[in-house]
Amino acid sequence: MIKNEKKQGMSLIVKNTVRSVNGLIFLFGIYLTLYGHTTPASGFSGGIVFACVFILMTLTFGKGTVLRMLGKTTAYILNCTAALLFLLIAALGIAFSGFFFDNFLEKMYPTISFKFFSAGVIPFYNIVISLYIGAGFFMLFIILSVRRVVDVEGKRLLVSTEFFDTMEGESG
Amino acid sequence: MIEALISMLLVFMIIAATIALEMTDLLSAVISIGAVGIVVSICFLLVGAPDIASTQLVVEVLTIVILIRATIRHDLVTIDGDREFFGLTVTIALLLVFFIFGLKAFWNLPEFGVPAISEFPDAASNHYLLKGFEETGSRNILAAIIFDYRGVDTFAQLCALFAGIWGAFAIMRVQSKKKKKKEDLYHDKK
Repeated sequence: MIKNEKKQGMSLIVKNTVRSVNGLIFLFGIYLTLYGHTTPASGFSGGIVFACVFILMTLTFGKGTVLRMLGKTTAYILNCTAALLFLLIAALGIAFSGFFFDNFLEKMYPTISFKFFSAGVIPFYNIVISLYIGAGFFMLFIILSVRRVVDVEGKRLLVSTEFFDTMEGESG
Repeated sequence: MIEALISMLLVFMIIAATIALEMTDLLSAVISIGAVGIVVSICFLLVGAPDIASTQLVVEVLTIVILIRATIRHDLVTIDGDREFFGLTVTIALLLVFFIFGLKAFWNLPEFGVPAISEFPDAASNHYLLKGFEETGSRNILAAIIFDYRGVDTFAQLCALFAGIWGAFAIMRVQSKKKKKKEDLYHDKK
């Protein structure tokens, strides 16, 4: 249904720049997430960087490209799954050592070092939270940008512009 | 040196916030809000919290994008006329009380670089700083606090975010199935 996909979005210079920079920003998000327990970063910052990558792509290439890559439904499922996984890791503490939110891995295998594999369950929390925050903020942006109030026969209706082309002439 | 720099940045922040309030153009107001956020991020960096600074910077960019997306199409509504006498009086009185309270609190602040926890050896923060590395193994003490010591707080925070996002989704949902025909009609006309 999407017409003139090549004409959507911003100009050629912006598109090419974003294409080359996109992967690096994504890599930075992965770095922030995975090294959240040793360096100044955490899952929150990493997740927001993930969301920003997709928002940048929405603004440059138009909605169609991004919705095909990371659909709305996928974002919902990711968001809910990450929330449940967070709860699951916290509940595993009860099973292994008797306390909610207990760092049971660190108690079983003590690791006092700057190494990548350290700090027990904190890296897992970081990964789960980055997925949660990334999917959540992407959802928020998609909801705000896809829905629109339109006048139809004198009435103001909320209309989804997900499947047809209205980005033309309003990008930027 | 750092204190002088931070106070200059604070003055800049107050000026930018005032501009954001007084501006009649919505886009300019959004951009001044962005300036405030970026200066907050610089302040965090100067005080010595690089992770919060990076998060603040990214959140600020995201906020500006969403605000521009949300406000750029709307018409400007201005409110004219005199203010009510009662409301004005209450506002000024509350501001005065808050100012006096802030002044009192400011004189009681410990010196820069000497945290208040150094006066209380039994405080929980002292325990985090001294024993945090041994107990959790995480070198980033902030991650240790938000995921280990204060995990339930983080969980409640995530619940609030979850409610916010899904509430926005519920409010912004398209018409129910009964009215869908009208929508299809609109699509065909287009």
